[in-house]
Formats: sequence, structure tokens, C-alpha cells
Amino acid sequence: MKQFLCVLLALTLLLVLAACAPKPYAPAGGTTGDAALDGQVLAVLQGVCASKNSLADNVRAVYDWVANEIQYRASTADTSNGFTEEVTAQLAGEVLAKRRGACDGEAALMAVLLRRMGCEAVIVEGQFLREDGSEWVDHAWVIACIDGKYCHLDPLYGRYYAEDAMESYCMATDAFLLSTHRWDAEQYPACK
Amino acid sequence: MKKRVCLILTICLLAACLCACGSDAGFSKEDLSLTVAGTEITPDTPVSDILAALGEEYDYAEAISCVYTGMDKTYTYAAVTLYTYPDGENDRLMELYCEGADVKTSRGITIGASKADVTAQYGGGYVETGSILSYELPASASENLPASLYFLMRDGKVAAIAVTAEHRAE
Repeated sequence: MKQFLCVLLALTLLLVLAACAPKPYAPAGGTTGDAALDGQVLAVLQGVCASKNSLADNVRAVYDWVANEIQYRASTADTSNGFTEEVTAQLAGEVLAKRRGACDGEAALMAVLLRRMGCEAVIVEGQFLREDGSEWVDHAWVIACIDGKYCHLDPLYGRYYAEDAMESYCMATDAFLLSTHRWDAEQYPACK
Repeated sequence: MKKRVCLILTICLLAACLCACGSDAGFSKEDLSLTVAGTEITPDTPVSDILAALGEEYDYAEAISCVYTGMDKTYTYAAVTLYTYPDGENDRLMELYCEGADVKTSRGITIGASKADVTAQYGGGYVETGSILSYELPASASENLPASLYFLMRDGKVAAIAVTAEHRAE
């Protein structure tokens, strides 16, 4: 009888622990249709996001992950016809697999991650101004809709040009970004 | 009996020590080397020498660097991709990435080797991120990315090998 009660207690404890364990993050957005890429995306999101966090906090966690995890390396993808779904998925998959990419790859990866999280995300083709003001450089980043509001996310610029203010380039407004970037505002949502 | 047991234990201990010594050979600057099509290439190899060794059958691309002042250049061969970055007037090797069969490291690791083969040669001091096993040397400056030899793993086998040079990251 005593042994039976001990086993029952142990089982009850296990059930309580299992019920209290944090549930894995379940992203709300759609997949790309590329099973390998979708698996990698889910693994990243479940590694950095938490179900109990707000969407904004999870977006910041994903932004930090991309900024810190991906090393800069020139891209070999052809984006001359824009960031089609196919090109975006190809770039995102390459960056995830090799942990290396240029602005186009990081933007593609951010977009794929955000869309999987349920956020509308568009890749912006624009330019940034070099620190010394000497030239405008072709660049790509993301505008996403988070909690009903559009905002800019540029992890590469944040990491390389604003290391002390990297977070400022996560969910930034048009007014903030215009000090360093330019883009055709008529083509993209306003980030106020 | 007691002496026999002591002797056996001593032999076992010696054997364990020798095995341990053999499996943790460490990683050094001499390991930052790939032999591609019979030519040894290191991060210090001039880009012109690399191109002379690999030939002219490449696709060339360049773009204004997002990070450096000047142009990032990419030379894509059938199984090798050379990435360079601008350093003043010169282009320097940033990364040599090899997927083809005709590549090996200075310790004989080739495409198709297992993770166990890699760690047997280079030890357990790797950084694993995603599919990448990377052996790195400490960077000489805090703002630099370290030089490294890395292995892209797929289904437990080496699918690509790359050597990267230390270069500015900020």
C-alpha cells in the first residue's frame, strides 16, 4: 500500500511539472512551403521567442538574434528583379544555413522570420549614407507591421554602424531613419 | 595478485592518457590553410595569386560594400567561391568557400568526412552554430571577426569547408 502511494505521488508530481513547463512558442504566421527552410525558421523562433512574451518583445529577440548571429559576407543572389518570394526564400535559406550574408540576405531572413511570426513584412530597397557622408550605398532592410503599427528593422546597419544604439534600428520610425537612410516613401508603408 | 592489478591499472591509465593526447591536437594559425586543386591557400595569400591558381572560369560580381569603404567582390567557380573585401587600395581574402571534392585541409579533412573525423583532428574547441562547426583563432582587435576554419555539415558529413581571414567587423 505504501509503495503504491509513493508511485502515485511521483506520477502526480510528474504530471504537475509537465503542466507547468513553458509551452514552446507557436508562431502565428504562414510557412514558405519550403519544408527545410520552414523547419529552420521554426527552430530559430522557438529558440529565441517565448509564448509569454508580447509580440514586440519577441520581435526584439529575433532582431537581436539576426544582428548577433549573422556575419557579413557579400551575397551572390540576383535581386535585379526585386525580392520575389523565390529569391527571398533562397536568400533566407542560404543565410540561415551558412550564418553569413549581406544586407539583402539579412533583410530576407528578417522578413521570413517576421512573416512566420504573423507580421506583415516587406523588404525595402533603399540606401544608407556612409558615416563620413561620402556616398550613398545601396541597401536593404525591412518594414513590418507590429501590433498594428508599421516600423523599420535594420539589423545589419544597427550592428555595424550604431553598435551603441543597435536597438534604435529595431522598430524605428521614418523620422528616425531619415537621418541615415533614404528610400522611395511612396512605395512603402509610412512608419510614424 | 595485488601487484598484477596495479600493473593492469597503470597500463590502462597510460593508454587513456595517450588516447587523450592524440584526440586533442588543438587549433593554430598553421591550420588556416586549404589545398584546392593542388594549391595551398591561406588567408595571407594575395588575391591575385589565388585567381592565378584557380583559373579564369569564374563568374564575377561586385557591389559597394555595406561594411567597408570600397567594393565587395565575389569570384564564383564551379565548386569554390572567393569573397574579398576592400582594404585601402587592396582586395584581401575574406573567405574561401569550397564545396568540391578537390579540397582538403592541412590535416587531411575532405568533403564527406564525418564530424568525428573533424574533431579527431582539431579537437573539441569548436563553435557550433546551425550547421557550422567553426574553429577560430582569437582576434587581434576587439572590433575584428576572428580568422577561422569552418565546416558546413549536412547529414553528419562535411558538405563544405571554408577558411576566413581576420577582418574588421565594425
